[in-house]
Amino acid sequence: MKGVAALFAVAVLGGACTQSARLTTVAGAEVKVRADLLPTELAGLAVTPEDITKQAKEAGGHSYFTDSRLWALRSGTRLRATLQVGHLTADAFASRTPDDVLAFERQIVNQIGQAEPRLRVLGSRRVYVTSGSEQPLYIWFTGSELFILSMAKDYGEPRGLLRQALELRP
Amino acid sequence: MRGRAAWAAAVVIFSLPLAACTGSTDNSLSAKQRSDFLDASVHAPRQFVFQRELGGARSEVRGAVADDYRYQAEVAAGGALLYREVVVDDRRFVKLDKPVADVVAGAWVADASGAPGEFARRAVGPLSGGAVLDAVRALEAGPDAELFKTAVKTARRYDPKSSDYVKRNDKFPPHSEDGVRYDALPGAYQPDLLFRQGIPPNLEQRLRAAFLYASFWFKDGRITRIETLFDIDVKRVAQDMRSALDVQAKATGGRLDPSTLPPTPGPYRETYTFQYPKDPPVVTPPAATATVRLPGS
Repeated sequence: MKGVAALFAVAVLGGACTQSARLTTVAGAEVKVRADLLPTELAGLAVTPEDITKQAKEAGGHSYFTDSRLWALRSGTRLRATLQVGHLTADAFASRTPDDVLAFERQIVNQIGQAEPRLRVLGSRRVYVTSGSEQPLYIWFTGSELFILSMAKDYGEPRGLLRQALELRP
Repeated sequence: MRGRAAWAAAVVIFSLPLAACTGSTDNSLSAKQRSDFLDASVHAPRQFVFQRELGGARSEVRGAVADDYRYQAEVAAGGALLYREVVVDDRRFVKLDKPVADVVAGAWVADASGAPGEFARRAVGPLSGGAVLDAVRALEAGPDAELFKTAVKTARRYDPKSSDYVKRNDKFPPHSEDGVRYDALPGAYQPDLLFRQGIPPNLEQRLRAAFLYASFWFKDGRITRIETLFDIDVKRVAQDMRSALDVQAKATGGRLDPSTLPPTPGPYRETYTFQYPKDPPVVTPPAATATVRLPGS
């Protein structure tokens, strides 16, 4: 089983990304997640890119991502959420039956979250809701991209932030 | 809440007695049919009505779901409207028909606790939002969906002309406009087994396994109606429990303490109906006059 670099989001939210840092991407991989994917502000939170070089190196080739970026969302200096966007390897999102796609999504989500994921449908988008380290995690797929929105447990408007994040187009 | 509990019970019921009836599968739903029906219904924009009759009292939740985080409903009891509720993402609004505690009636107020959380344990007060959420999540994904799938899996197509048809098991009125009906029956009530070691800790669940009937209606690829009837013989079950405890007490040289007898749950009937309009319901936040902490929320 391949490891999932998505765990970055949880690990980084736990402490490492308390200050903004230079953006990097997975070493040697073709950059496919746009650096300007996020605006400078989302749902009233300031958006800054985060350095995930170390985690990317640790994942090495054992990842479903060819590229991954992480952004921190802050209110003032207080970290409220992170959004990780990973570009999936070609074999991960190769054309399959709808059942295969669902099975793959669930497989990925089960690796990321610690709670039994719940499926929510907002518009035409399937969003998996789970939690990691007691933080709510919202996970969704857009073809070749995987989005992981992680929030502080006490963040008051998770669904409002989710709505805006769902509008992002890679 | 009751609805979820009922599904939990349904699993026990439908997975035990009907396991012996797997010889014929032509009158049951195929795995693909079940999956397709659920996929098309669970998260679809819809209108719903949930009705419950318990001990002569009738309650109703009637509403609309725009998506999984946006819904609105009216909650009534005994034919009288209690309150309206609107949930839009993180916010919850309530309009009472009559004042409760310090909360005024007739105006929308925002619930200071916000919308029911995804994982947080919900309060169970009458204004907590649990009644509406249970109706909205009646076909919930996740663990509840698994329970539902099990119940549907064992249901058999309703056919009064079939040689398998048993009149006394036909507990629900016809609703031809709601599509094709599948029924699931409870297992046998075996008090000797049920109370062999006293009162089981999961009493309600075990009793539902023996007394809960369910029907599912499907139309145009979606679930349109679910009915359940908890058809328990309260007197008989109460007597069986008393006898079991009495025997147990005598075996240990004691006497039955009536206070150890748990209450016997009464019969109830629940009906969910679903409609899927061409134009999906739109749910928007009302203009609230205040933000309040609702009693029991």
